[in-house]
Amino acid sequence: MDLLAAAKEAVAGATAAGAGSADALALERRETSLTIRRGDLETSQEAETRGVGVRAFRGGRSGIAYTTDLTPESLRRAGRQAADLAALAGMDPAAGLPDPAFRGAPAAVEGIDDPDYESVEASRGIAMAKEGEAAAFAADRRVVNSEGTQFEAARQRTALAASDGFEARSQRTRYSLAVMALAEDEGGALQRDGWYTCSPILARLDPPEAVGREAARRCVRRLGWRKVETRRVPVVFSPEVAAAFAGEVARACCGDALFRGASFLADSLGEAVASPLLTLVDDPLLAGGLGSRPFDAEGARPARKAVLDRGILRSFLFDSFSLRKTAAAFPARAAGGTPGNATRGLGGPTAVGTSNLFVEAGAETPEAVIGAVQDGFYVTETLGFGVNTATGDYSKGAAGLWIRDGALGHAVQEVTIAADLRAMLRGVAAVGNDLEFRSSVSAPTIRIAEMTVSGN
Amino acid sequence: MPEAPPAPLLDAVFPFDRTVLERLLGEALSRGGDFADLYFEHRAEAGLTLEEDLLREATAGVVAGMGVRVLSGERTGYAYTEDLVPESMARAARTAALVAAGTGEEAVLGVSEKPVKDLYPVRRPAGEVPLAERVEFLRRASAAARSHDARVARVIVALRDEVKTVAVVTSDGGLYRDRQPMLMFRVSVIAEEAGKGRNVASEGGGGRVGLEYFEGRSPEEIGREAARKAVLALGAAEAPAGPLPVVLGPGWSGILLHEAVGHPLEADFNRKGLSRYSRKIGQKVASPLCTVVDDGTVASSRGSLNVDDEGNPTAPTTLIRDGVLVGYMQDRLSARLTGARATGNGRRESYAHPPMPRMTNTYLAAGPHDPEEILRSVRRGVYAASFSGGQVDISKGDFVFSVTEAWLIEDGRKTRPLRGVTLIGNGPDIMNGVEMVGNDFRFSDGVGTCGKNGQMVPVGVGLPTVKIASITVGGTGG
Repeated sequence: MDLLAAAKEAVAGATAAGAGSADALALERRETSLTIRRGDLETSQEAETRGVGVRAFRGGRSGIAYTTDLTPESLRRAGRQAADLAALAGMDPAAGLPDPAFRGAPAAVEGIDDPDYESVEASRGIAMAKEGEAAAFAADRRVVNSEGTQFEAARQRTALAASDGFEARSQRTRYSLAVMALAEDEGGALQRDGWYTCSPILARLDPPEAVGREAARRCVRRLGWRKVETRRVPVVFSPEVAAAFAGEVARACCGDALFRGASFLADSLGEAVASPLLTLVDDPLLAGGLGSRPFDAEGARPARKAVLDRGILRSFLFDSFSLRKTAAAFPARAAGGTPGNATRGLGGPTAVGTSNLFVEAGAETPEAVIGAVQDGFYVTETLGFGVNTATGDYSKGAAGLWIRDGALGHAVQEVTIAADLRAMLRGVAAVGNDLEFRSSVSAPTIRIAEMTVSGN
Repeated sequence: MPEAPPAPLLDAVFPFDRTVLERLLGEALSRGGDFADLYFEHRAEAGLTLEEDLLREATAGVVAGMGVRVLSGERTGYAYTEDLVPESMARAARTAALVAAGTGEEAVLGVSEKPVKDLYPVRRPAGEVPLAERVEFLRRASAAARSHDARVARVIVALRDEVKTVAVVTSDGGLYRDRQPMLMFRVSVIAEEAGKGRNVASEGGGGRVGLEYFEGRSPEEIGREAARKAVLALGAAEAPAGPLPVVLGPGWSGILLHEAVGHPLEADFNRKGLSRYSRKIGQKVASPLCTVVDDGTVASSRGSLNVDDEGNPTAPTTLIRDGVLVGYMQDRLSARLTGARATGNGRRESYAHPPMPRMTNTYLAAGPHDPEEILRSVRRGVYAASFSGGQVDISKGDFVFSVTEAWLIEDGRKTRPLRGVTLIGNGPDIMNGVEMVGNDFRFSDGVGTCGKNGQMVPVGVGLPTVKIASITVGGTGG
């Protein structure tokens, strides 16, 4: 069954059962995943999956049902079930479809669907993965093992239909190649690291050889690591770690956390919460973006938002529900807010999430960002879940390289970095010019004036 | 061979007779291969969320599909479909078959049903209890959390239940059916106090149980515990930074074990030489006080299975005995390639995923020490009582885990609560640094979920009070 027709069928099932309004999201995803290990094919997976999730509203009461069975009877049944559940739910005036003012035709976003998807053969992916892995082994003789090199190709189709007549569909592709290498030192201790490339368009992936070489470089530079003494020092985040940090800050700017009072930034709208060097943007319309979306998961008009504009907290991210909730309980937090940031799984309500989130590039080269540090820590990986966006506590495991007199030195592992998120934001002392959109969350190299590194 | 039961061999959920199943296995092995299996899954789920005493979310859904796996040497081919008609299933089987490069000489044995255990009988299936009655459990937890302390600002309670009906059909003639219930209850509390900021904490419970679960542990108890934790950390002190002795409280702290030695002892990592513990069987890898077991047969536990996801019976498997490494957790592929016995640890998230070696319920056995005595032996250190998660790097054995309830220990007593903090260490170092093991063994209460290669599965962990000589504590204080 056509996806949009399936979504409409589920909506019809809900309204026929008494729902005042309803919407349904239908997804279909095809995916090929291939793993090469030590030159041979290890796993080959083919997936073809689909499903429909339907939300039904009776006034402010809502119910949700979903199914992977796309027959008309099953879709109608899911719609009816959602309407029945809504009858039992509590009344919340914030629940419901997006306000008409926030509806809009789906945007045209370039470069997110590869027209050649159907003609890409598995053999091409296998060849790329083999080439990537071979390059890692060839780059350095200390690379002794491989955890596997994975090639993935996927196309996802989405359709959204609502009882107010909104309908939209989109289609996107995604390719990735990831090499994971293991290096061994003279003592037999193993180190593992890797590199990847990811793009909506196959031809825009980095060459496999370059990915393999970079995986080897990242892995080998971890050899000969040592712990450091506990102390407070300047810390430089590599682009990957800076991106994770951007994601953590954005989580505190999501409507869900605002109306629940679970964000350390909840009452700071309009204030200078960060260094003027820091601009943090969410842009769902970015051409070629891995997180781009022509419409959000409830059909609200997506738009670019500067969450932080030169250090000033300018916008929060909302879906319709969290915007209404926040506006009712804390009008100041919702001032000027718009929806458009809804995400949604098939089986749940909408939640607020980022699309393409990135820190705008600064003026300095990454070498200069590092070069200004006499004694500090260049972090290439963080581990664990130690970020609390309600309190602002930040404490994570970390690995990287020690900076001495402006240059990268020995590898460091088994340490933690900790600070208060407010102090980290204010303490952003340099932003690099090396922004690349490698993932849906991206950032350049960033230096933070001071954090506690806990080691020996 | 026993007579096959009358058609359909599977039940109403999967109305297929043995001819269909045997033909699918034949398709799967049509290009050769050592082994093939079919995994049928039907999952009925329901979720309720109460927030501000309002039933905010009521969800229900049905997910069904089947996956086909083909093993050929070290290769795995996998495909799945949600379109449960013979043509689509045969297409999936032929796709999975492509991983093998030979011709279909493999005979498929006649399929017959094999008995499985009954580890999780459910007295009061949540799905059969009227919604209004189910909501009452959420309301009770919410009210108890609110009345626990005036600083409780917001309470969110969620109850999720699922019944997974699965059938594994193997090319060596086995058919294994199981009905796997799961109940998950979670109370999240946001506490606020002027001048001391806010804090979030949660407490949960459940397992492969029905609503009879609440006869043993009331919703009020869970709600109060969540509130206690949320309020406790308001205005808590900065955790110290640097290496310190750490005492792990009983139960949930087993997450440390899960990360530090659990993952590194999964057979696939070891077969491929990727783990710190590869080729170390028979060697001393931990303090002699440590005996570590993975046991998929713990009655009604979240990590338990009557039969694993590739048809092997679950069992208690000793991994480390008195500090010496004695075994790995195996799935069918790793067991066959290394000549080991399958241990019932072949698990998968769903029909969309091929199985791999995974933990079930992993625990450290009780030791000789009184928990009070353990605490008294520490002059200055950290007591870790509750955790939000952990992560490990298999090759080095380095792991972190995030403590959400921590106390400073001074002169043998817990003195002050600390803010949330990350602990980092190296698995082998930590396991060798186990200095005391308590006699107060406890399993965690049913909320653990483990991720590996993108697949999530429910697990249990357990641990008595344990003292570790030194772990790096990632705070900011002195």
